[in-house]
Amino acid sequence: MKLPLITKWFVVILCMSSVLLQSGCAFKDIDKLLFVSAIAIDPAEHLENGYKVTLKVALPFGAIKESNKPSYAYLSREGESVGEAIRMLETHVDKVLELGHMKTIIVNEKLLTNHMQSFMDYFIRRGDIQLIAYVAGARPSAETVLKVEPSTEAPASVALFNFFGRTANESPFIVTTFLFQLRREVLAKGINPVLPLIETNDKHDELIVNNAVVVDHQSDPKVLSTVETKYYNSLLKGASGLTYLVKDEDLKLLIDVSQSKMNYRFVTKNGNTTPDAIEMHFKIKGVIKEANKKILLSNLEEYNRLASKEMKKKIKHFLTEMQEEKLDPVGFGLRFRITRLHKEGLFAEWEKVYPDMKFTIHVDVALQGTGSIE
Amino acid sequence: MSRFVYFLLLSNMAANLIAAGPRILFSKSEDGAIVAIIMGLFFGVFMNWALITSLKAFPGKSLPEILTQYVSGWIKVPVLLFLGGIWYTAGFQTLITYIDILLRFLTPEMSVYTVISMFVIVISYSLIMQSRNVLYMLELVFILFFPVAVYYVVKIYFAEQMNWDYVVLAMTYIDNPPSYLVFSTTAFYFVGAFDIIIFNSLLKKRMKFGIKQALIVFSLGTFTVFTSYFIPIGVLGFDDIENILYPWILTSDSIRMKYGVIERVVFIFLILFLAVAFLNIILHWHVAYKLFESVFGMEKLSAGIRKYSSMAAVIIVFWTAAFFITLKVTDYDLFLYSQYFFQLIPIVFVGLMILMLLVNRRARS
Repeated sequence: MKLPLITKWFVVILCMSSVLLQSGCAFKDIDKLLFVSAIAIDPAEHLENGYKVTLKVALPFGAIKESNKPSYAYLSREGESVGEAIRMLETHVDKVLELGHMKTIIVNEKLLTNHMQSFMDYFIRRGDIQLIAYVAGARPSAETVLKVEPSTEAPASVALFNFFGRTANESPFIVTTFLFQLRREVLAKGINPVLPLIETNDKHDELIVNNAVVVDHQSDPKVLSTVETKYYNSLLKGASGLTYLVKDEDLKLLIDVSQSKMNYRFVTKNGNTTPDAIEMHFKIKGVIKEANKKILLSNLEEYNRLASKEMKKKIKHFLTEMQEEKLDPVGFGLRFRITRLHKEGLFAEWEKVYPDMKFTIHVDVALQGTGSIE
Repeated sequence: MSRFVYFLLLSNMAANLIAAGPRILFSKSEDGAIVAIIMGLFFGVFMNWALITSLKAFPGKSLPEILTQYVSGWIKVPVLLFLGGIWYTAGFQTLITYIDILLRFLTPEMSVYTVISMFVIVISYSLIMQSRNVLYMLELVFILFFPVAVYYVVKIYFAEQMNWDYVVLAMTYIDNPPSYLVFSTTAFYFVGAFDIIIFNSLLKKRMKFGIKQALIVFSLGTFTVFTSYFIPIGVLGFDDIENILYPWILTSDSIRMKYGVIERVVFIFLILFLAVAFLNIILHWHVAYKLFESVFGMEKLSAGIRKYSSMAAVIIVFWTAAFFITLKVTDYDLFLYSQYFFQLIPIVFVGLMILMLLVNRRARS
């Protein structure tokens, strides 16, 4: 093929100029970077309205086989804002702090209140922080939790990541909240975000995640108990792995739930447009995992009834407690908004009716068997 | 319809899926977006029908050739110049958006000049390529990238991060009076096929636009617009969605592939759509270049000189404008001017169709 002269020259110039551009590549070498794996945010001790930011930096080592423990460096600094503190921390190390691999943001329990949005803003606005980072509350302080190096932690892994996201641990006690989800639910009217709460033991060698915090922008956060967390997470949000202990007089049954489905609808009294009750249906399938007595397969119906009764009580207790605190972790308010056409003051109407809302709960437990022994 | 027409249509849809389009739709999310989107969809199909029908009588002829044959110079020149400007802006709008995205999310430390040059040099080369090769390139990129792009988009539909409650919430605003801005933005998703005003010279067969074609165009458009409007809402929430600058970047960053090659989808997504956007800019600018070239056909000069001088002139203008404007434009300007530009599209379309009616009548008589 014969190319015209000008095209040839154009191609030559193009190739040469692309070589010039190559040297302008802006990436820094990997040994000039420090990878931040988690961030902890506490209220500042010496500054009013400030934050204390602690970074967990993964330190590189030659070969994974040679090191028996993962090694981290911790950097902390107080500042007026999170961004400012991180800016200053950059001057404390010889390398670039790389936040692109940061996957856990731990926030002190006390900060999970009204000004949450103002400091979480930094994380959303920065382009390099992943929106699928996990956010968690911490007790007693975020810094303590961050510095825990559990004995089960393997080299080249971070224990804090494994709890969430259902890639490793899949316990029904562990709520996972992503950064984008937190933002979405903080901003949405009609739902309260729920964050996991990370605690540690006295010796600081274990991380314990079995509670959750319901965040509201007006009041202090409400910490859910372990049992409530389990109910919220598995029955209302569909997490798997729920086991449930049913007690009836001297019979104890441990039920392993394999499948749970929830749906609900608003019930309106005739003539009214606003609902006054919520009717919830739970469909639960499972097997009996443990019993303190001999149980009979033919009695499954009876066990179903016992289990339903207990679960019903617990769910109702959870829902009414949330209602009394004016919290809505399930998102009833959001559902209210989507079931009618938008108009001015629709959400105010919901806020008015929610405290008096009644809950009717139907639990339908269908036990499949008694495990491998009767 | 030739398969290339579908490719042209789709490349514009895919590029605008994550460029300025969604943000403009969200700015009216509580103000009549839904009805306007539906109206826009029907108008988009109508636009494509009108275009194909008006070109039916002239297989193998591009718009400049048709105009030269049937209308006088004082109509032809301003019309072609104006259309060239529109096409240049259409490509330009995508270019700025993607340069901005690249700088913000992929290579934040790279100089803006380097990024612009990277784009502009390659695009300029493809401007002077033969139209036929541009179409082949289009087909190639489609075969390579499009299946993957579709895979990721469909994957998002089934991602657990997607909360359909917010989508329904967005739909509760259906009773608002429609907004013209949203209507024209939706229509813009469909203008890809208009590139055939130049590429028609390569499509020798008589094209048909019947019910089947209309349904295909409609469903492609519906899928695109539905995806670009509702998916970010489902992932990022409805309240406050209008304050997000690049809804699709944040959306793809919120998607997690638990056991995927990489957990963070955003990088794959950006690179995929960058390829499609690149293609889209090339197509629009190629059309703009051809339109301008047909105007500046200095007939007294010899063929060689005429070709290269017009080529050089157009490229220089394209480059300078690209550099100056990209450096100057802020996020807000981009948003504002894109709005004006989109609002212009239906008017330009009506003007063009009136002209085509006139030409068709003359051709028949």
